[in-house]
Amino acid sequence: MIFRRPARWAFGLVRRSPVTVLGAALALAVAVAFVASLSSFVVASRADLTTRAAAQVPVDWQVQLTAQGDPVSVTNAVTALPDVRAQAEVLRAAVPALVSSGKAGTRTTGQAQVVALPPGYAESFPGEIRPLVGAKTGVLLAQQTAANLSVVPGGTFSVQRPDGTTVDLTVAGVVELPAADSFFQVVGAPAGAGATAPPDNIVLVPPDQFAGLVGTAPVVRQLHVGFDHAALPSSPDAAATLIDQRANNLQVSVAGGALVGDNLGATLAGARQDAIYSLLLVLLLGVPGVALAAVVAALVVALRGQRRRREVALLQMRGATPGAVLSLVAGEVAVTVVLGSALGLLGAALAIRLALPTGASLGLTGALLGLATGVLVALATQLAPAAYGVLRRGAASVRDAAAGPATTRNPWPLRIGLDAVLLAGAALTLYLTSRGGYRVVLAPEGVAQTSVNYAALLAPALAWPGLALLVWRISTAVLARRTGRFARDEPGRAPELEAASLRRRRQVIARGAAGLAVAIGLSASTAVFTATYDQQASLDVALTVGADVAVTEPPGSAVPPSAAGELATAPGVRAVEPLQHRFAYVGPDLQDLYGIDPATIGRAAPLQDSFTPGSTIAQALTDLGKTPDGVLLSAETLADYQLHTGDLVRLRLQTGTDRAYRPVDFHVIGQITEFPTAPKDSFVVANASYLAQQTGSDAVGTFLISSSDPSGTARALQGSLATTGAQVSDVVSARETVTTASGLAAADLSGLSRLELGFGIVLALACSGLALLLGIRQRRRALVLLASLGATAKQRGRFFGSEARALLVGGIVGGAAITAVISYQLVKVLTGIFDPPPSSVAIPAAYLVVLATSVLAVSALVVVAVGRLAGRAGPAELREL
Amino acid sequence: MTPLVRCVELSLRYGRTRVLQGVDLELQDGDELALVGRSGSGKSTLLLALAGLLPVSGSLAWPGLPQDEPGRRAAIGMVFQAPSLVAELTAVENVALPLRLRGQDREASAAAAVAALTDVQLADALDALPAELSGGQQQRVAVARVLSGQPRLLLADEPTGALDSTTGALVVQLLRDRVRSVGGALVVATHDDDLAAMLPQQLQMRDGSVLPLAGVS
Repeated sequence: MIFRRPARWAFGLVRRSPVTVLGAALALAVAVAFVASLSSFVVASRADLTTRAAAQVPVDWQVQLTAQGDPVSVTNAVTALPDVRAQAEVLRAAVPALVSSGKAGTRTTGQAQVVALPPGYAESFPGEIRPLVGAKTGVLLAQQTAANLSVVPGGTFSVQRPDGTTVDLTVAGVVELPAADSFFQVVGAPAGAGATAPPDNIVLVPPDQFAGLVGTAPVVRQLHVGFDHAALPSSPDAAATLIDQRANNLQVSVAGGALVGDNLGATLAGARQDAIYSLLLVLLLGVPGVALAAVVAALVVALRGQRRRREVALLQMRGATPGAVLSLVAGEVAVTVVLGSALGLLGAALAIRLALPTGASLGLTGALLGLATGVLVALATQLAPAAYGVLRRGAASVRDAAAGPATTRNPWPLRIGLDAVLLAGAALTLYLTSRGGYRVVLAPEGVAQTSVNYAALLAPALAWPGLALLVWRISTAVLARRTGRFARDEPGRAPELEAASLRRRRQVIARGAAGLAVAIGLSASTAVFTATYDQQASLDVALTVGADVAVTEPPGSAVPPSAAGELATAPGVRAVEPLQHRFAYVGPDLQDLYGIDPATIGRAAPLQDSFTPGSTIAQALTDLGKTPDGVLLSAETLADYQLHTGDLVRLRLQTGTDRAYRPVDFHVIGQITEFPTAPKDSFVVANASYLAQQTGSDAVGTFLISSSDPSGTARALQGSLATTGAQVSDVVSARETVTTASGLAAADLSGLSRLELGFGIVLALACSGLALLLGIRQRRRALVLLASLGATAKQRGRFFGSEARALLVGGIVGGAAITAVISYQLVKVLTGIFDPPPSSVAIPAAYLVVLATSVLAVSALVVVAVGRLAGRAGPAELREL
Repeated sequence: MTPLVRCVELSLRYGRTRVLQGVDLELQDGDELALVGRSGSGKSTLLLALAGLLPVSGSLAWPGLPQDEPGRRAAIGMVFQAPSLVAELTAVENVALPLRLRGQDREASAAAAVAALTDVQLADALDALPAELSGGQQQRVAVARVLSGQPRLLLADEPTGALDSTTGALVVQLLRDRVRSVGGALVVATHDDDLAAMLPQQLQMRDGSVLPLAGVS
């Protein structure tokens, strides 16, 4: 019963003004679609994070038996755990040395680890062992060990036992242990003990040979466990907690009989931090978008605000109580919410299909969040203003309600200088957080839970309203000085009157300009940020691969630099650069050493100034070229060994025909943080010619190739190099799988960019069109009056056109300024999610041109078409005068 | 004598409603006509039609006015029921606006506007915005705007509807004085019998049709 009257009112409105209702519903639909698709993206990306993080872990748990541990009871306890996919007993022990003899003499390594792996281990735990050459079972040597002993499959070497006796073995194959760090971890090490470096010499043997090789050496006994990752919760947070608790449960159930090396839990904890980064990324880009969608909805509602005020005033004059009036407005809100939500969810499904990677879909959480947003926006933009009008103003006269007084006085935020306060606050916050290194995500030592440093987000949060108010202030200041004195005074024009109108409507125009500036600023700064992120993600992928295409030669091969000529004949190849890859001892640390030609490396390798802090990459390479024995070292190495530019540093490299490690002198010329194919921690870059001269070998590790068609070049090279054992990789296929620093896959990030940019442009266009439409609507009476006074359509257009121009100029110039400031802040504040950090922001010129052109085109269309229509004096309008 | 305006069988519909039905009317120089009738009888619509602001069926011509559109528009002045002023322009700017749009230069328009406002006794409110003026003052600005254009055909739609009787009478008197001093015709639509009685000719409108009352042949 109580719904009958509001329902009749609402359906009457739909019958009378279907376009108005549809407009309000469409504006709500944009907000609903934006939030629903963004939320679905967050949910999908979090699940993807868990899946990918878990997939990176070759062995989920290394359950190590303690001295009092009983192997049978521990094995039974592990078997009883839920979702166990595989388990295998792994034994290892240290022996004093490995020895090989050949033409160049006898080679003796330092201490070595002998590891017993059960049959089928490699299949149960794929990713732990990567066969390089020879057999996959039997006695296997790690790549570096084979190089140290200079043996190949079929060759022999001896294991020196703790009692001094030796056992001869025949090498069946050479393997790589990509996860050696975790494989040889010290399980149960106290927190803060730091990671231990994996051993330099490793022999993998079948279990039946193990006891005979290690003799009386202490044996580390582990159960390697793999879980079914499909059974993990989709959220990294929940998955990490589950695995953590399961590990605790096992340790309790075996009563100190075993310790758990929880590789899966540690990786999921890392993903938990990544999830916060990705959520932050979405929030920082998404929240202003939602706010803008609400502004667009408010603008649509404002289009009939004048009529609504009149209707409310009439209802109140006829005795309707505030409650009755509000129930009628609530009926309208319900109609727009239902229609807007339905359209919004359809739009979200379409946006997800068009923008996000295959497999993403509109989830229940996303849909519910979208609907909640729709309801909130409708309440805020429709019901709240109506309630304010009804309760605050009381029954206004119909004409008062229709007129709406114009003011030239600045609004209170400008009068008290709020813009200056907000911008000063933003600058101060940025300065203070910059001193702390812009750490948006905090992971305090010893605390499992990561948290967001909200103070770091304060700078953009303060800058947005501060800049919007500043655009408002500057626009009013400029318009207040308009006199039209210098405009051409042609017959039929009235520039001084146009200027007078602008001066007195400056607050309305400035408000529209500020709104448009925020819309443009949001779209453009999002575009700049995502372009910069995309640029760095692409660079990250290129650094991982090495170049557009990389050909990595198999271990033990000695391919000379001249082989580059043959590779250069592949289709699409622009340049080929040989890259030497060696290992060198820096003190006791074995580090990767890259030999390059500084003059030509830039032709194929992706290089950036940010790689060489304190210098440009070009300058660093020039310095390296001028210093034959120069080396670039990582910051960690420079700090740990107290090295400075110009210092002599003595590295141990494999030299001579016996490939023994001998000291070679180098001079430090600077610092380097990133290099193609190099690990992220410590590595060394030197001149290839000097390395070849000192080591007696110019063998190339990787050929870096610049290509106009990476996929095509890679395909062609895979065909031609199939028999050589060389590995060919390219950036296009790597981009699908490489995880960016925020934890989002590069492909997912592209989807997010498409989503943000698509909605950004829709919102900017809606905002510009609606701001102008609202202006025309407000001036409709004046335009009709001008028509009744004999003004032609052209004169009417010019009269309003000056206002539209002022709004557009203010909006576009202000938008450009907001874009510059917010882009800078976003890149600074979120610098932690860029890897490598950018040397400069990327300008997505094409998108910005499309955005500016679209805004201008829509504005011109609105001004010309609607302005013309609005000035048409129909009977109803003329009678209103 | 050439009539200023002549309409024959003038008709107009708003949707399904017929608001003018076969109106025949001819106005000569010196005519001062009151159109009386209830609300909704078609008075305002007939005035808007005579001003050339509405598309109508039938024959409508202005033989005594310039035949080009801008010239004819300039020769017709209309006063609306509510003082229809541009809210962002001052009194003098509102009056100067139509003159500027018709091509007069800045100084001449300003001078004419000041003179017209002085005529309606608003010389001390030249720079006031409409919101700073009373309803009566606003209506006098609207009258000054019409008079400054030297129109030959003066049309006033309930010009005193928002005014007290004294101010209303003053406004009508101003319009009559102008017709008498420089010529032309005046049509005032009103439902106020006292106001209608001030004018020598009256027509009654009912359901879109015109019925003669007094002084009209």
